[in-house]
Amino acid sequence: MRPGVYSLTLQNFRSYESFSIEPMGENVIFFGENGAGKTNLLEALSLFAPGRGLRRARLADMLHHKGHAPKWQLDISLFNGHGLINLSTTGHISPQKERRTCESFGKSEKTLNALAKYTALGWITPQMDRLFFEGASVRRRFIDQLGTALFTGYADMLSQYDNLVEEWSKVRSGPFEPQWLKAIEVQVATLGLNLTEKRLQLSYLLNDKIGQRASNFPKAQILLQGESEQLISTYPQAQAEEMYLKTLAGTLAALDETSTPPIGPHKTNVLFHHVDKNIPANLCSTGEQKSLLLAIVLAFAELMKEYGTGVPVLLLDEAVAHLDTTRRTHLFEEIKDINVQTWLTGTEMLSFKEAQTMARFFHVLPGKAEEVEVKRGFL
Amino acid sequence: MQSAELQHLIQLLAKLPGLGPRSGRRAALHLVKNKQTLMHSLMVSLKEVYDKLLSCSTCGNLDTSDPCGICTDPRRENSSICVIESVADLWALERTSSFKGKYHILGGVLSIQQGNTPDKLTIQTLVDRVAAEKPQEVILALSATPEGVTTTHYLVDALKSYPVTVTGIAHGVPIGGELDYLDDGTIYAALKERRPYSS
Ligand SMILES: Nc1ncnc2c1ncn2[C@@H]1O[C@H](COP(=O)(O)OP(=O)(O)OP(=O)(O)O)[C@@H](O)[C@H]1O
Ligand SMILES: [Mg+2]
Ligand SMILES: [Zn+2]
Repeated sequence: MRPGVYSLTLQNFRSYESFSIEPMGENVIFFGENGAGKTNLLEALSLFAPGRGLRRARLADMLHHKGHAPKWQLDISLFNGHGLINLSTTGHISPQKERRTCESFGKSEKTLNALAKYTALGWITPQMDRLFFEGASVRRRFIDQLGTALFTGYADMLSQYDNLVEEWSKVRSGPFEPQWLKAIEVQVATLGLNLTEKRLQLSYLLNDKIGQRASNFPKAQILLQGESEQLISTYPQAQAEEMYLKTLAGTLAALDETSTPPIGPHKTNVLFHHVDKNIPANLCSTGEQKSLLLAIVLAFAELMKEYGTGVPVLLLDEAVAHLDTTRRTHLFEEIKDINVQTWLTGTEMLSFKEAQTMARFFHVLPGKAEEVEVKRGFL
Repeated sequence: MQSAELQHLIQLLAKLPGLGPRSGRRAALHLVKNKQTLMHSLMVSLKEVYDKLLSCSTCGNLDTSDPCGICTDPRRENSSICVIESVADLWALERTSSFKGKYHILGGVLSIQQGNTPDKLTIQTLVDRVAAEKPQEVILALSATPEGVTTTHYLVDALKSYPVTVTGIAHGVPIGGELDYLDDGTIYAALKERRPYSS
């Protein structure tokens, strides 16, 4: 028995009024026509990580249209190698506000960040094809999603940092004593450097892993650039903190509530590089970019297994569509080797032909999914 | 279906921490069934506390006298003041009977997003107390959240011109905690606050 998702239940979520599946930790392949509801199922799984899920949608948009209840609910049962972990998350929707809560073992948790204790989710979606062209914040979010899955406390650190930055901007533009701002800045510097250090550690781990893996996918390299990265790699802790504080205190930018600190992990630039070709990822072909992303996520899956404390699960939405038969076969083989539960989607059953011995197949139809017995022979 | 009065009672009870609509109904039913023994004494007790409840103008504690029982207790030491966020924290510390000094309730921690500016907290009162009572030690026992730590820094700064030792409670490995399961921030804090074992 390997760690993974043993069962998943949806209520009033997206196109599903009620839905249940029990993959028992095995790999899952969802196939079905456009609009059948495949991505919706992966989105449901992605909501067992802190954050807004793989579509970053509003909670109200996830509520089943025909349902009358003001909430949707997802339940999951995970095997972590020792026992079963039951998690549940609920989207509460009212005209005034929407709110997502989570429970573990039937007890409500204080924040969604608690989910990161139990799960380590990595995913690829078709939208991420644009990752290398989008603004830096999208690429930071990608890295932070990986950090959340890999390190305990990372999610808390992120929310605390965001919160502090907001405090900094507001206190700085308000009529308050300078000591308050100073006290906040000490915190911003400490947390900012801690977060930067964690991100750097993540990039080192990933780059090493990508370098060491015997993979048929092109090797990617992740580079983090920014002033706080510069400080950490150049100076010892105390000195870095002092210089960070100096930069913060010397801010001359406009005094309004929206100005952010001039230095810190919120300004980091994340660069991806195609190692063999020695060119930045944004200059690669569409297929090459997809392969780079897969290389990163596959290496990450291996890291999650080694370092993460949560149950590792990989979600690959439409990841095989752009791949030729050889690359597809390689992907399936590597998934098998890494041995982390992986959920894949695609419109054609045929594109998963080479995966027939390593996954359970489900035909997704509006509102339901029917298992197709393929292990005994494909087509 | 219950009457409007009973419904109202259930709704009120349901708002109590730890309860909810179902436990609210159960509690109401229990009161109704024990009208003389429980409901009446609860009523009397509620009214008594309601009439007498005061916020201590010295430390901010809630009690039926001002200054409160702790501030006027001759057995408590004047040499140290423990700064905490709320009455709940005071009760938590008192449960352990581990602190023999006096308290100072801040009323929260600095957070502009929650409207907790320095003037909304009892920071000035604390500074005045330190000036007047001349304690040897002020113990800052605030949450280990960024806002809590910000407030701690702020208070250290505000008290730096007084002849008083300002200390903070330790943050780190909880009793019974295994290192392997702690997050990096906790381990970092615990390591930073290490201390020598006296031989
Ligand atoms: N809140 C909702 N309530 C009901 N149906 C919804 C809701 N949100 C989305 N849908 C429906 O879900 C369907 C889309 O599902 P999904 O994106 O999972 O499809 P898919 O199988 O991944 O398709 P594709 O192959 O095109 O990616 C659409 O038909 C959409 O109308
Ligand atoms: Mg889809
Ligand atoms: Zn008092």
